[in-house]
Amino acid sequence: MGLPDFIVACKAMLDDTVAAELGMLGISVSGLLIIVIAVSNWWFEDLPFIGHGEQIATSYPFEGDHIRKVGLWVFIMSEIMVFATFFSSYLRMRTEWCTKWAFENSDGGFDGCRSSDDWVLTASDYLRPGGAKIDGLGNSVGDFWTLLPGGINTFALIISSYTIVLALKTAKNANWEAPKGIMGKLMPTRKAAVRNYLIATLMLGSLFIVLKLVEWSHLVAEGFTIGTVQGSIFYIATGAHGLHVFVGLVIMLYLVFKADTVGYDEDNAQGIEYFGLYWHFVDLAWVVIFPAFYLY
Amino acid sequence: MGEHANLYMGKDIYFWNFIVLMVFTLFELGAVFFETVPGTDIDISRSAVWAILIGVGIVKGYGIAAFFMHLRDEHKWFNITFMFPWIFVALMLWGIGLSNPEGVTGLPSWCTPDWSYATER
Repeated sequence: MGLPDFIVACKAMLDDTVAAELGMLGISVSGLLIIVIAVSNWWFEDLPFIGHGEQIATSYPFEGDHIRKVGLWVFIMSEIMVFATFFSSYLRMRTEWCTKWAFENSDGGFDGCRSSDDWVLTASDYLRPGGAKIDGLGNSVGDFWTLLPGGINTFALIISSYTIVLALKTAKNANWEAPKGIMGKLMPTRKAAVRNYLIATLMLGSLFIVLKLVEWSHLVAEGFTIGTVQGSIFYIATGAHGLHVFVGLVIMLYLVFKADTVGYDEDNAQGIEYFGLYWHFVDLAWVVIFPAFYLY
Repeated sequence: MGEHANLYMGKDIYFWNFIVLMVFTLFELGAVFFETVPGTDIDISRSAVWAILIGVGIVKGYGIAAFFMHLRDEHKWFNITFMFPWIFVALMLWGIGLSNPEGVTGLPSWCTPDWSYATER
């Protein structure tokens, strides 16, 4: 019910021609509160879980598998389709656009793009070297560094995917031994190692969100607002992905708390494993979004 | 994510997958950053960038799904669960993504729908 108002409020943040009214967020905030209460309740139930009582599927085709794992894969299945709708909408429009890059390379093959007046500027035009930002003399003044936040974010997500794998490997390794040197001081025990790998993942995810906001603020300042078709699909698709990262960070806060209190070991590491599947999916979605929206 | 016990040059498959993902991302950025192949005068055309991005995306996607998400060693039903929505993804990309006048006339016939509304509306 609150979604339309929520979207208008978000639009107001990205487009200064739309008036922002905090009252628009009333129903959305109420819904968010209900979600927070439900998730908190679930976490209180999960916190004491030490590996006993995991529910097992009893019927074909997932007989013997953990129900949580099956549920997560079905969730990922639905998420693939959500991102596919963004991507197909983008592709539908993108094949029709004569971008600055296509025009300058003269191999776009668009009849409707005979002069620079026919350009539409996409995010990748703004972000690529020599991008869409024009100085007073009509010269492109963009440089590679405008692409930098997106590039760093790509590496941050890949590294965070690896750190969550390391957290899981460490939790599952009953014969784990503290490494030597500085790493040994950072991770003197298995419990500390799991927690620190999760904190590293959390920090990398946070870096992603911060750089995303930096990048957005630069794009908006350069005139690429959500008020255009090109801006709309860009901010909605990358924003939806950013929202998934943010949700992942919230869940990771819980994982860090549990790793620091109850602890993870080979009996209850499923929590990290199943969250890891979600986090890898977020990385997978970025593998598609980054080249499509930022590079091409 | 399960356990891969095999080591390659002293490191497990997750480490090497991580390295491959990092290197291919550099390659991806390089394809956009450089206008010519470094050290030569050979232009990197839009078509070449397009091909590189798709190729790199497939490799990176496979690396994440097969190794990090461990689909390579899961039983077939998890793989089917993962692959099932791609049918709809393909339909959406083909039926919606490419169903516009320029998409129909500007792309090869084998990847465009032959639906009259796309060209006559």
